[in-house]
Amino acid sequence: MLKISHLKAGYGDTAIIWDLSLEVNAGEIVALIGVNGAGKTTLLRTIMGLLAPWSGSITYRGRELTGLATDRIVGLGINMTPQGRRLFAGMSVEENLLMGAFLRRDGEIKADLERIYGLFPRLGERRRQTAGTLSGGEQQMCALGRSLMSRPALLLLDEMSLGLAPVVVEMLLDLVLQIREQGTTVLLVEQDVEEALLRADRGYVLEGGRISLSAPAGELLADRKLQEAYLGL
Amino acid sequence: MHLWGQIIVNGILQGGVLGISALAFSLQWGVMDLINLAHGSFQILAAYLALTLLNSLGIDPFLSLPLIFLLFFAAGYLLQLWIINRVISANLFMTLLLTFGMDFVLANLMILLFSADYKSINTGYANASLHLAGIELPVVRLLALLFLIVLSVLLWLFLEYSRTGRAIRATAMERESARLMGIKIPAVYALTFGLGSGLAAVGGVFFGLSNTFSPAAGGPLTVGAFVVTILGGVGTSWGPLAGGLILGLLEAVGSVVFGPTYVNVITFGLLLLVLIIRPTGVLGRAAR
Ligand SMILES: Nc1ncnc2c1ncn2[C@@H]1O[C@H](COP(=O)(O)OP(=O)(O)OP(=O)(O)O)[C@@H](O)[C@H]1O
Ligand SMILES: [Mg+2]
Repeated sequence: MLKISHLKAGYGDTAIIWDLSLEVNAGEIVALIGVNGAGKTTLLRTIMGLLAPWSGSITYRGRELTGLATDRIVGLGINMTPQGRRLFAGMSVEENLLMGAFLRRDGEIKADLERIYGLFPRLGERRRQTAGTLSGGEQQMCALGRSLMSRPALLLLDEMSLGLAPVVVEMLLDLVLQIREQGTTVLLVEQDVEEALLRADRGYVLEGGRISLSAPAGELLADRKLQEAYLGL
Repeated sequence: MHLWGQIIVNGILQGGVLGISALAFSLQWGVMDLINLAHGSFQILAAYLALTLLNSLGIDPFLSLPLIFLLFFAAGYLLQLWIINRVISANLFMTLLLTFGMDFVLANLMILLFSADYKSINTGYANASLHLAGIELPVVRLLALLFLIVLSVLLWLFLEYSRTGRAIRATAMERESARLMGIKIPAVYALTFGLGSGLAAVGGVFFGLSNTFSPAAGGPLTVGAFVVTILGGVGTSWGPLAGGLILGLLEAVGSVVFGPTYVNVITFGLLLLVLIIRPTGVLGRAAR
């Protein structure tokens, strides 16, 4: 579904990603692991067209994404829940969710809104509340809900668990399984490596701007070196 | 007693002209982080346009107002799309430099076209006044205040309830997220600058109807819009209205109490005071 080959990208004249290749197949949950500053967010932003790659290619369902504007990429069915939530702080919860459906013209937006409130009853209770006043966990739910409102075929999740209580993290990551069941493919960037790998099909390790390791999630969980580096075991 | 009533009314009415001007300035600043140094020259250009249309074709400024709005909207839209968008993602300094250059070009162009002499738009009603309980209410300024209120409400309704308005607000709050929603930022910017230019032009026509002006009058108008915007709070819907009324009132009262030469001292003193005790402006939102 998503195929990245020999990608190079960075900021200014500093390359962050060197010759990175990876693939995500339809229906998968793929975890992307890497230490702070490894370039995970940089990769996701490049996929979304927020950052122009220096070289290499990114194809989605056989179609080249590099050079496309972000709104075109979103229109193709890819969405990203950004690190740090990045909600529209001055808008209500409901307005935030509706912004997620900005490009949609179908008549099912209202129904999807209710579906999101079904997934996150807390958001339903706070639908008129200003997003900036939500708790961290609620904000993350709102950000995820906002992404889901675009009905993505491919969802990029960047550090959902950052700064959240373990119960909320569990709840959000379990929801990722449910999202996949409903037909959305997921590329999952997580600092909580163990929780991510427990739910992913496969995983990639990003190191020094390249993929240093790629394996089924179970194997990565059992990998001694990985355990030392990322799982603190 | 009547004297003070008159002074306060003058201040409030002056606030109308100030506020319309700030409506445009604040929108551009709030949405794009763009401080448009050519703002005042846009306004004076609109005043000259209204004057020319009146003198050569006999079209009343209030009839040409919608046309002038549309013309400035279109020009502003294209200017942003073709030129300003190219530098706006660079640092603030670049856009300041660009709009400063635009201001310079416009001001000199106006000297060439209209000479450096002071002009005024002489309509039959330019100096007309209503009288109420012994207080004089200049018609044009009264209308300016009315326009400010109506335009503020319309702009608020547009930003709050239309799809495009939501896109503009989203862009102002969180640019990268707005892009992730599928919003085309260059188009939002072009629309915002177009709207701002159109509103600035409306304010300019009102300024021209209630003051004498020359090509050099743009600078003070830009400064006025800047101060009103800070007073009311950058990018707030009602800030220009509040800021305009406050500044208009204080200038009117201050010039009587301290003398007209102190108006600028009052204006900038007020600006400093607000920046110190309430940097988000009177109606400013903390979350921005
Ligand atoms: N806008 C930017 N301009 C310049 N450098 C940046 C920018 N954003 C990130 N970087 C740098 O790029 C490198 C990779 O950052 P990135 O955010 O992609 O890492 P990450 O893997 O997502 O890390 P984290 O786990 O902290 O989110 C870091 O060294 C960072 O300092
Ligand atoms: Mg990151």
